Amino acid sequence: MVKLTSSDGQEFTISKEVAYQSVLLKNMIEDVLDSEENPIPLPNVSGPILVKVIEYATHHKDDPVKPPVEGPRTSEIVDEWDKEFMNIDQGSLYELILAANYLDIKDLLDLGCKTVANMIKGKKVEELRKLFNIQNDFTPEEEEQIKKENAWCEEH
Amino acid sequence: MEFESMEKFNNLPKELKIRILSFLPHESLFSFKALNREYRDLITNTGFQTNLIFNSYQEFIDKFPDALLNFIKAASECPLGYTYSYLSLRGHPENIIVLRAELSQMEGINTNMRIYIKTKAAYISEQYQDVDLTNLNKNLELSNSYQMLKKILLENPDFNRLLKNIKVCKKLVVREKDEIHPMADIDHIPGPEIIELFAVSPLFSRDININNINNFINNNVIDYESLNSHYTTAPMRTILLNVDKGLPILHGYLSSGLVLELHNMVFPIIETYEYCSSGKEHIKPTIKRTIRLQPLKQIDYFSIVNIKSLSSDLNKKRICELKTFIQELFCYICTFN
Repeated sequence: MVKLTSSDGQEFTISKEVAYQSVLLKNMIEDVLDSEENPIPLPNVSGPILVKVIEYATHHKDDPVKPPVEGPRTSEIVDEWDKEFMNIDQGSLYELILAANYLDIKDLLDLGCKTVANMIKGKKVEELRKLFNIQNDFTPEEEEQIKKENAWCEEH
Repeated sequence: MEFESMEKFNNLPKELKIRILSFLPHESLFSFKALNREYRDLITNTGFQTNLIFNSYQEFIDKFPDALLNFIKAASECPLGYTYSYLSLRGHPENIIVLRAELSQMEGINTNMRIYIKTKAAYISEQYQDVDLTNLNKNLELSNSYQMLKKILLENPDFNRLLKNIKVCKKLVVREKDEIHPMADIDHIPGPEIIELFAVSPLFSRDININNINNFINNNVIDYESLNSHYTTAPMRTILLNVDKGLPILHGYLSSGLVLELHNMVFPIIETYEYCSSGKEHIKPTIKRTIRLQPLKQIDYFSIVNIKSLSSDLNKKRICELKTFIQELFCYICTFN
């Protein structure tokens, strides 16, 4: 078993099998002689997010190694469990993405990124600006240039 | 509440934003690019997949005539160490169609190797329509192979349309892609106004201990002389090694007022080649070469690996074929009217 400590001081005990889903933890476990006695500190992951990460890693611990995806990258999420798992508030979603990146869990990272991509997909420029509260800092000339450049895309 | 949460997207590290954007279809990326300067630059200057026209190798073959098929064959015979062989032709990124052939679809091919062909579609920015190609055509001193290439039957209307609309932009940039990139599974699309080609040979030994810019800095001054004597970028080496065809192409470009920039991903340097006119008509302009530092942030995603020595005669022959073909194709496209 492996002990983990979240940024808010919560302690979690998980199996090595689950921990090995994370490349970071795998490396740390191999480096730390006795990770059962000495908890591994995870200063970048809060307790509630670590709970989610553990839930994901536990569910997928027996998954076979996935072959490389052929064809175009899409944001489609096939696994129903994954879809339900990502049904969380947006604040937690970004924290989960950051945690997956920090812990180096590629599948979870991609799942989080796909979820955000799905929220973005199909939105027009103004909708995106509103959604992300982004200020338009283009000069009129730059804006005109972008419009011209994007005309090709819109035509097709 | 929603706004507050979504604003967190803006605060994500750049590599995570890119990862998210890489899952978007190209239409969404174009929208994203129009948001503000930050996202425009993120999308324009950073590598990720914008579009994938072909879903299979067969589809790719069906669309392309013999010229490109020959290129693929030559590239597919490249030795394993030449991880990437790619030819990219582009006017500017907004009009790009990324045509991608996954060589892994072919039997017995190094699965790491991919060909990237980026070209532009029918829309041409007015900005680039006034580029004078007269001197370019005149100075190219076309080879017989160019004539041969011109005779190739181009029956596919889509391909014809693409070829006819390729224009040369004012600035020519050649970059080498490094195969070990944190986002290696994502297509690399560098900055604007780029034509990329023939990154077929490894740049240096790629030993990170040897390829250290600090070895060439004395008293806080970069020793460009030493750098020059030790290294040149792979694309320029390709040009210089193929005097018959490469140099006329280079002269053709430079005499048309174009500037050749070579970016390399190992050292943060940019080589620039341009014509330096004396102002006197009877004196031939000389090629001015400058080398300058590139902002480090542009290459901080790249790391370096050792690759095997690639000096066998067989490899040399294949690489030569590939280089020749690329140059011919390049020549053909540049002079297509």
